[in-house]
Amino acid sequence: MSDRAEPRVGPDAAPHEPLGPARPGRFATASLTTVFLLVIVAAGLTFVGLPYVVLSPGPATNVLGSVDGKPVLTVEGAQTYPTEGALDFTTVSFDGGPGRTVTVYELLEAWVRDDVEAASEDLYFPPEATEDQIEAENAEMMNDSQVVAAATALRALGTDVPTSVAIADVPAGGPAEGRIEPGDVLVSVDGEKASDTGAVRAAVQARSPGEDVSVRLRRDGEEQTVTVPTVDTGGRAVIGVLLRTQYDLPVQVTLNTGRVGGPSAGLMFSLAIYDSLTPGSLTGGERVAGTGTILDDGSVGPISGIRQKMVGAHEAGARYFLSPEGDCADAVGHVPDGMELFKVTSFDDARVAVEAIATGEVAGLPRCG
Amino acid sequence: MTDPLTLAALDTERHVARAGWDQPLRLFALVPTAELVAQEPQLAAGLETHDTAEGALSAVEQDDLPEADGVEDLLARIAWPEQVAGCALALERIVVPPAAERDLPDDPTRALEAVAAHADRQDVRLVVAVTRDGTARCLLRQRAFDSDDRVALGEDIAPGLVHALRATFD
Repeated sequence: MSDRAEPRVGPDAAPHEPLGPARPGRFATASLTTVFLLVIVAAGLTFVGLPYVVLSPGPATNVLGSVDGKPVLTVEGAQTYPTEGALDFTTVSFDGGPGRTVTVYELLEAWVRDDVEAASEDLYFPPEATEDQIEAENAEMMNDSQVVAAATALRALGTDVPTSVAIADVPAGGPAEGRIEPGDVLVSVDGEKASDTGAVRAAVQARSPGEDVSVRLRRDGEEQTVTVPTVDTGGRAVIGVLLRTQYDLPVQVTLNTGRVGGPSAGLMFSLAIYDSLTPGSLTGGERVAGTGTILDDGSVGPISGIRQKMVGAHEAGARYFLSPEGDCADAVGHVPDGMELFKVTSFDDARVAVEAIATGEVAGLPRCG
Repeated sequence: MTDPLTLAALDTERHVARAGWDQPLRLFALVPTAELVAQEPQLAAGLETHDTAEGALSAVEQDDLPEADGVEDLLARIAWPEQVAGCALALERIVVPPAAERDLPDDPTRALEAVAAHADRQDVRLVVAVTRDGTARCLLRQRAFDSDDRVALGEDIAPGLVHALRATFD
């Protein structure tokens, strides 16, 4: 430490003399006689608990294989066939979010490595969410994705999968509160059969906002009719319920995914279920990885973290990767060496792609660009 | 277009970076470039295009910092005259993995030795810039990846320092 003159700024500084003597440039080279040697330990208030999440490659799991000696996929109630090769679902390792903290050290990698990404926490988590809520939601999405995947595979095989429209949630304060309960199964709305969620929405929206609708529903095995007023949301009539499609699956499908949550394995589940229900090997012994949600109409929806998932799949030995169309832009330019990326918009696209990979004739498959 | 605070933060970061590593803490006042040039017309010759943009800020280094017991204490002693629109702080830190951080000895000197000797230590330089309205920019450069295009930009990299810098305007 050297001696120094009175500080130019500070409680005792004259407020009208902010800048001191004229300086020769925008960055005056202050002589570093003011040796203020502060090499500071990382701990302390500066770096703790940053509002970031860090996404890095997570493990890839073969849906046709086993984890800890237990098969990942079990199908009961239908004839199944041996499979070969691998259909990998892929994951992202998440650091941060509710209940976890990220330190600057963990962010360092993200800023220099292509396959590790730092993102603002609120892009991924609602501000008030707790760790338990997030886990419960991920587990529910995982379960839902398995059911839709099974329905998709069965439909691809020509099997009829009956569905009904059920109430997932009744937000408090809406017109349906106290009249309709979560778990209710809809039979009809204003006499229109509740064949799917679209039909229910159409029947409600046929009313002018403010009019009543008559809802026939089944609760605890008993049918009843309730009258619910509609309210206006953006010019359309709504009754304030969240719908979900309930599947009456003719087979029992169990997926042992350990602690992995979220909906993004749906596509790979559907391919694996389809493979096990059809004679012969879908993959021809190849290792195919991918990601994407599967929707009731068989379409494939986008996910997050495709760059990390491709790297995880590559490390697991997969040379082929199926990407939802909506994630192609994010993936292009980040495909690991030796991996081929194919664009899929539906279960059928994905099935065709895997069949082509099995025979080695991939030239005609849609790619990400 | 990049906002004036981000430009000033990036300029300051590069300016500090050109002096290499193992530097002491450095503090800058951010003042409206237009006012600075009005006061010191000879500076006009050195201005670049972005310096003449509306709201452009210039960094003026504050040497002769008051003696203080660490950054927080230093910043607690700072008060800015009203011509100063913002400020920027540059400081180097050693960071270690979270697990190692938890196991550090309580004694500051021994903790510092342990951090400095850690096999996975990373040296970083942080530049935090704030304006009076509370807007903040954080920039972080890693010694192991010491180039201008590897500097990370964020608002939330160092909440504690942002808070302490904002407090200098209260």
